[in-house]
Amino acid sequence: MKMKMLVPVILAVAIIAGVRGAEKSDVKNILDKYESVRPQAADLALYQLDWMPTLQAAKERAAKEQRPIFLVVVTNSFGDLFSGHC
Amino acid sequence: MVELLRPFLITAAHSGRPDLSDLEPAVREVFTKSDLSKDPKRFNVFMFVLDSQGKVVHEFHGLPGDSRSAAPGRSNHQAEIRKARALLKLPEAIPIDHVGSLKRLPDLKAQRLEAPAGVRLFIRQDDPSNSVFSKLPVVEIAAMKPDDWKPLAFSPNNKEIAAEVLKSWLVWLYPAGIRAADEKKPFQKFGGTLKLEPTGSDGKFRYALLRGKLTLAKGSDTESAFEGELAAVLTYRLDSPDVQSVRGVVEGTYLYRTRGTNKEKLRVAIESRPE
Repeated sequence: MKMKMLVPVILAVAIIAGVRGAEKSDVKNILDKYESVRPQAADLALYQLDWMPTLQAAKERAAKEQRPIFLVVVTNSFGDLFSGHC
Repeated sequence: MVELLRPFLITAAHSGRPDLSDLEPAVREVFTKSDLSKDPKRFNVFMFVLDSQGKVVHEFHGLPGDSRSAAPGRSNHQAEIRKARALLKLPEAIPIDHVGSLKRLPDLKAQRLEAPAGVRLFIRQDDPSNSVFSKLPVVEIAAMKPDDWKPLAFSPNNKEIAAEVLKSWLVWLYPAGIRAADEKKPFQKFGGTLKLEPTGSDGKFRYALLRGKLTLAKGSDTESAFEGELAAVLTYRLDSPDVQSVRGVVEGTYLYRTRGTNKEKLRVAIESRPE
């Protein structure tokens, strides 16, 4: 996990080292902004959980693995709770 | 909350139709048989706990409520999940101090070596007064075929790219929690011109900046829209004009039109996938 988090930083340093001086600040600014806007792992903690695409699929896996199911139903909505657009 | 839910298989379903005909039949059965669906004080979010045999053991309203008072149509999520865990005879949840593997984070697998499989977008509101929507990201992926990347191919000279070329990315630039009718209609018009400027090489890769203003519209001036700016760094191999990676941001405002216009600031991180 730590290595995965370091890769964008290493990439950013490599990119900044290679560009022309005049654009160096622009590249750095964009990459710094990307780092500040991209969520940290703690903000994405819900994706640690076992999401299933349908209740039927959840039921089949629940029976096999002897696990309970947590179902969220949203009415009056065309969204997708899994993505967060809901 | 994550620790409370860790033993569960999580699933969610949405219905935009009054007769619920767009719900998975198994979900429709659970919902229509529930007392929640008949509660006159209900809102539109409902939570159910089922045992490993698929039998409902607990249900509660999904909108969050204060722990000190049970407001009608709302629930204290943590308290209700604890009740469900007790009914299921699950052991006490133990909080852990690190984030585990994000195994379900939406992602794209490499299709070909020449170009990324697409991009991943993290969309959040930029509103300190709304800590929920500002902290919790929406995560969307936009798959791309090799031909889709060609407009962004490396050029030794500056070139202009119509924003519409990136519509599979830009179509996701809206916040969580908007009305169903608004969400149902995606952006139809993708305006703006981006400049792609080469910026040099480090001997391993070549680089370019992609920047410019965006104006996205769903239709007339009475419908929601987006205005903002995109800025991204693209990398390319020395021996190929194909895009190797993208890292960038979009900052702007979703003009949320209901009765009047609410300006909802968004900030979006964009990254090509896989790494």
